[in-house]
Amino acid sequence: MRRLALIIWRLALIGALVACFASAAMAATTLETVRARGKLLCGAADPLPGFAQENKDGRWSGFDVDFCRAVAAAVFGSPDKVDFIPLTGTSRFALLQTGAIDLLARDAAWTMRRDAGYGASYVGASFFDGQGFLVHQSLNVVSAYELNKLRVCVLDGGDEVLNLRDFFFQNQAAYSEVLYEDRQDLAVAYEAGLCDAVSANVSWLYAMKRQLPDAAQHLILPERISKDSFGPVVRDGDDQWLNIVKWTLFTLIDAEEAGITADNIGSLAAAKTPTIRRMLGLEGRFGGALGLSPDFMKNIIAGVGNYGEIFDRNFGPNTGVPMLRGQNALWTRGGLLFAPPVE
Amino acid sequence: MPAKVLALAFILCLVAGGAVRADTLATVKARGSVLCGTTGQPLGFSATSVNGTWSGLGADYCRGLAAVVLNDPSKVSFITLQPEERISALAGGRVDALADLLPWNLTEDTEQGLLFVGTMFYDGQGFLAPKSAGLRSARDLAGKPVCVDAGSPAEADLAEYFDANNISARVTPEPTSEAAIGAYLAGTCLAYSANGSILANARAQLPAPADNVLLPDIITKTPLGPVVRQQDDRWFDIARWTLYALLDAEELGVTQTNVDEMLGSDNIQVRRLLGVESDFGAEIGLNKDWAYELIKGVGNYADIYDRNIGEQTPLKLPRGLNALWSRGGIQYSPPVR
Repeated sequence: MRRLALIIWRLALIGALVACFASAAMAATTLETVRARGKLLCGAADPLPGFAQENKDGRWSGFDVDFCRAVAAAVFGSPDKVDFIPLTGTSRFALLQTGAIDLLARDAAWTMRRDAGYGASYVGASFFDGQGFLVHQSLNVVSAYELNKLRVCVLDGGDEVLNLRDFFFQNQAAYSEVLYEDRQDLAVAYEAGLCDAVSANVSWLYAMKRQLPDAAQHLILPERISKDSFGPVVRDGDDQWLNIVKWTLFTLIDAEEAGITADNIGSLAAAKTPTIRRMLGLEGRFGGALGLSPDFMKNIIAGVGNYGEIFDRNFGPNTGVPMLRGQNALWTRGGLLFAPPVE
Repeated sequence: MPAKVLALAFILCLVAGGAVRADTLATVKARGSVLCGTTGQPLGFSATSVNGTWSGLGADYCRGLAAVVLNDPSKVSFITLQPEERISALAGGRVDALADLLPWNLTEDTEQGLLFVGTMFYDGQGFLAPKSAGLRSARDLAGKPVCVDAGSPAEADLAEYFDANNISARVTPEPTSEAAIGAYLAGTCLAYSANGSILANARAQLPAPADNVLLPDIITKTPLGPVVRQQDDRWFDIARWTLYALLDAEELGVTQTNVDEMLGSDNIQVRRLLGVESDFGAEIGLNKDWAYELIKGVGNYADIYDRNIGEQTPLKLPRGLNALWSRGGIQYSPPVR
């Protein structure tokens, strides 16, 4: 009997030992997992024109998609090794935690709750947003401070309506609220003339404007009455992956600042500027600590272009509905986009 | 295999697994104080002790950590470190954070086992010149000698800047910063070029600081920020949101002076920040009034800036890029929401 107990005890210990080592081995890094799979799994919240849209051949494009492609270029040297997965509902963070996706290119705005609370971290801001106003050109205003005596469609029950009340109260201007619970209703109501303006996050107003049949007849006013930013999100517990995604974003911004583009990158081999030489892998040796090749920055820029090129491709004049750079201009040009240097 | 060996192996595996995931918050709470490493340089930025009182942006940041974790900004022990040992002291757990602000760049961020919390001061290379020279910008340095520390990154950046902008100034390397300042005082060079944090300190040491100015041109970017060690997500979140809450408080007008009064504010954002509405402290393992304790203990970002390096201090550094995004600078933080 005692002998049997000892055998059971040993078996139990062996089981525990195997489980312990297995859990250590299972903690394969995200980079290893992505490499072994041969492609990146990149998620984003709801499809949104300009940010993420699917064409009739099932091919995704957009600002978020380009960021995913940039990470794929950093890891594989090729921007095409990525599956883009549109996500709806509230399970996005869970999918990140379980490893069903490797990163979220865009989710809801960066807040403390989302940054600290769901086992995930924002790597930085890739898009500065904020609540603004969409109006018809015929209203003849160029600034939100001119808005007076009009009907504003706004989402009920959240911060948007509070911000709106605050804004009109501060400006001593008159308005009436037309409240809805669903974002789609705002668009329908505005198009049907049930309100004169829509107030919501500019990224969303922009997407809405693109879908209007007479987009050029509508205007997003320059003011922002709230502070919101969006950025890529990774799961906690893998700082190497956090750094890979973070420095992919910083590379896009630094490349624009240094004037390196997808077009001119091939002609810069003789460049003397140290920043350019470092980013092209001609000087210094970067990337090793990230588990990436020394030319990962070159691969990012050659694969998708710099931040400005991505912005123009998805929101520029060729889309027919240009978006102003505004806060998303480089810090050297009046915006807020800043990245630490490649040194 | 004997059961004892198996048991030992199992325990070792558990310990090894646990050691990878440090829990700095639990350690700090159990100890009852935050340990902050400091080299003391440069003045105003790192933590330095004058008559037993530690000051500097980094010193106040560490006090902020003590305020949010232990509800008492005085529960910090500053530990003097040599520059070459500060990284290993942090990585090895001798200290919980550094009061030094390190330059955030690709190498520092990825090759030292560190994580940058954010940018507490946007620094960059500028120029110190005598007021009497009447220089309006770096362009007026054409044909003039400009001193710089030999062999420093500043030397190469200076040459590159003059070259790129077709300014025919003479780059004059000096072996040490003391030598460069000596040459500047002697008039051997018309200007001294280094990071703003260094120049402001150099100016404060001159016989007549007010006779010297910092030119408006900033020719490089050197974001300076607090760092924590990798592999402790909870502590990183605490460190990050301590910095963000300082900035959010300034934006919302919550100061060390009015924070008690602000508890009665109608503004939903102020109420969230101070824990009057909702509980955000729980997200980072802290009490709901964590940010109230922070502002009460050390003030908001502007309070800290003004106290350590602002116009009323010997360093007299204007806010510049370090103004809030809503006031022409680029200091920006996500909201407590």
